[in-house]
Amino acid sequence: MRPAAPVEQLRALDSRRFDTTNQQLMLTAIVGVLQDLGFTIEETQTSLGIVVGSRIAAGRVRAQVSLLPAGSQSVTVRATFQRMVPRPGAMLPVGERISDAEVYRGFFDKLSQSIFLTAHDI
Amino acid sequence: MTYSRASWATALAILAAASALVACQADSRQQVLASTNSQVAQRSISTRAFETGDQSKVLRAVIATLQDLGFVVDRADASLGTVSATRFGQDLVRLTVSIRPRGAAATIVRVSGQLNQHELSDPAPFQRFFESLSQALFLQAQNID
Repeated sequence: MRPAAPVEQLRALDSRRFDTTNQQLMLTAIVGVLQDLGFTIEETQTSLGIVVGSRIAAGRVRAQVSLLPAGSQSVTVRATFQRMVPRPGAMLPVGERISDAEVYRGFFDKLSQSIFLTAHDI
Repeated sequence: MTYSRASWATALAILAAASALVACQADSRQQVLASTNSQVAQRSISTRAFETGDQSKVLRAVIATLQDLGFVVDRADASLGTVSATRFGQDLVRLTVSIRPRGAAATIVRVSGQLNQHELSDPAPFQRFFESLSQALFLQAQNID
């Protein structure tokens, strides 16, 4: 149970800070970007700021996006993507964390767009 | 001679491993980020506004509509306004419906989902969903722009 890479390195990859304190807008925008990407929402915890979704594409990809207050003026959004591949005859699928930086960069670009669209009621 | 053959083999192995890594990265980008329409285009076909500020009424109507269409709800969250549901049959359809207020007197409803392995990117199924929802709500579905 050790992290795949130094924790600071992981967080630099999968976390971004946004200058807003509007948690409701952020959660709505997170649900929105996952919907944009064709994910089905599987779990949400508004008070904890967690949204989990999955998408079936050559196996199954799970996404967990969480919100953490960062100081009094901003929030940190952290995303984790996991690939689940079923093993014939086995009870549990093989899973791995997706660590391609491009995936996280692309996701946060789309999240920024989603925040903009959500704030404009689109 | 043997040495150079070995180094060729090593070079080929490294090349194969590198291309496998590139393929794997392209795969994960495809798996996470691939979408047919732009975010704005997708939202415009899959989102409607209804002239009511009563979000719990809209959420109930969404659940009733999903049931009418043969879906079973997997997850509903009233505070965030999301409902996810699945329909098994010839095809596997998974939907997420999210609602949010627009001002005090309107509610925005957005549908997204997958048909088997593909995201819903064609306007027709959304159109049908919103027609059913309009009937359940006794309200006209309005396009958002």
